[in-house]
Amino acid sequence: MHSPRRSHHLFMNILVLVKPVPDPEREKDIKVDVASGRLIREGIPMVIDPESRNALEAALQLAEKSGREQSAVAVLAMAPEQARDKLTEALAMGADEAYMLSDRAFGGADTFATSYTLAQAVRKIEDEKGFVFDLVLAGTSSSDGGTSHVAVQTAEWLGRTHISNVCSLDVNDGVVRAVKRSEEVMLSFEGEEPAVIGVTRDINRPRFVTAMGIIKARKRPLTLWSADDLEIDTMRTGLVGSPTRPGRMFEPEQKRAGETIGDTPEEAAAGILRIIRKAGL
Amino acid sequence: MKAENVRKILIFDQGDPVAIQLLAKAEEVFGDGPEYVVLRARGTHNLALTMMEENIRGEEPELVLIGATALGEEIAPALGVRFETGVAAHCVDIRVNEEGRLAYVIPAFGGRAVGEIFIPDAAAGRPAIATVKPGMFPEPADAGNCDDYAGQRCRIIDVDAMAADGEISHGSKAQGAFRMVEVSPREHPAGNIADADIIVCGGYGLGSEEVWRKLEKLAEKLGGAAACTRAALDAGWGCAEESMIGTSGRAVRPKVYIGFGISGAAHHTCGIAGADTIISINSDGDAEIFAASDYKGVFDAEKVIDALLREIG
Repeated sequence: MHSPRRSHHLFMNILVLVKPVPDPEREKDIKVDVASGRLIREGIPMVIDPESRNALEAALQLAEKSGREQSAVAVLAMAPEQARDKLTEALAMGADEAYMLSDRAFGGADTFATSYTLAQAVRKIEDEKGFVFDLVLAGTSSSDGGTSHVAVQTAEWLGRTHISNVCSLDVNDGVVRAVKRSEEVMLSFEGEEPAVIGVTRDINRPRFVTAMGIIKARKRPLTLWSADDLEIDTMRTGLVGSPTRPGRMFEPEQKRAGETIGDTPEEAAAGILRIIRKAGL
Repeated sequence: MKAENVRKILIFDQGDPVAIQLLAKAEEVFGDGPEYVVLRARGTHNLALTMMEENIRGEEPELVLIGATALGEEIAPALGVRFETGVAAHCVDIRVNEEGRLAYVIPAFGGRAVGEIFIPDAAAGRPAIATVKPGMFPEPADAGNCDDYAGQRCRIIDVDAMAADGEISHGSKAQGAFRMVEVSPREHPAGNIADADIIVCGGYGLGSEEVWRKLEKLAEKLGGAAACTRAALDAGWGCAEESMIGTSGRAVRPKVYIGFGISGAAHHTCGIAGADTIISINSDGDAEIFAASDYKGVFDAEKVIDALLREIG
């Protein structure tokens, strides 16, 4: 039964932005084709970005804390349709429902166009549900692009307060307390829902998918939307809507001589100390 | 955007040496051509963001440079949306190409690849925005402190001073926006590795917490700083996150860098490219780190650390 008083703060509705990326464990297999200046990443499987997992874990924990029966966690991704199984995986981790945005019109989007498209989808989901998400969570920095832009930019499109690089998060009675690291100190912030939060990998350890989770995931809704399903200005999506334009890719040049420093560990140690002295230290 | 069209550059200064690094880099690329303006603000990002937005509207720079710090990473992407413009994240270089266009070189896949990007429609009122990690560009040798260095070269808009004089409010304008409620010290401030002349860095190949402890001791005895790779940090030996070198950590420029048990993933090597001398010890003779090293030793890391500790006594 719903309690009539302050029911809003008795449970939480959380949306998690999830990004499918080429497996970062296979980083070494990513090559640059020198002639075309393009990346070659064929054969590298897609996975859920590590920090997206942290964001989903944080959402699940907050939902569990606030009463799992009434709280809900939805996930949203913009990705080619082949990455659909990544959303199934998010459902198997414990998300209640998933939304996926797939369209050629979204291809080649930079963070500006990506965050615009995601924000329009957030608005549509909220319109359909008749509420505003208490929190939108995302990883701060993905393993592929790693710009740290999308959480902040999605918040800006939505006109909501934001904070990223968050390593600790708690919500009580609609007040969000988030801790982030700066270069010198730890900073604690307080803000109010609705807010958009970018988390870092040290906020938690994401749970594993269980067999039971996989079975449950089959019954959970996965909604696929194309550009036609969203109210969008196509001048702000995809490559056309991206203010940044990619040029050539290349592998960083970091060649040094690689001279052998000694034939035994003792010789190597003596060599290291010689180099330090020579540097005047 | 053509580099010759850049007439004014606004640099965000948050009281970190990164502002000097950005200014020096801009001077290297653009010379005396454009006017340089520094906006100085610290503290809660809502105030800094509001002040940057107002001053970009007022000053109309063609290029905005922001340090990719905890504060900068909150501000730069937000400005990108507010001015409907492109943001080049974590530039490892800013340069002018053969056609005279301004190119930003940014890492992808943790530094495995780098690529040029352009912000073609940037102009006054819709500036190009670029962020740069602290330590990525060198500080000029004669820099001194930022006040003197920037003061001689630029006009300074000091938000902190204006707030102190009551000209603007430090409180946030936005309802429900995040406000800072507590500041607590960090165990290991990032300054340790940022300023060190000698860095002793450990990778996953150290193999155990015991060897990591030895490495820390070695760093201390050499008068240097201990640092780690992301893999070593994740191993949970007690390395501090603030001493991680790499794309998601910090870039460093020590006189001597000594790496132990480091494979040489691009994520890490792009953070040490500015070191004067790089020495690497790894038991795997094919380790990628050797190609990026001036000196190499194919040994078990612990054996060389032990030998060094014995030698120093």
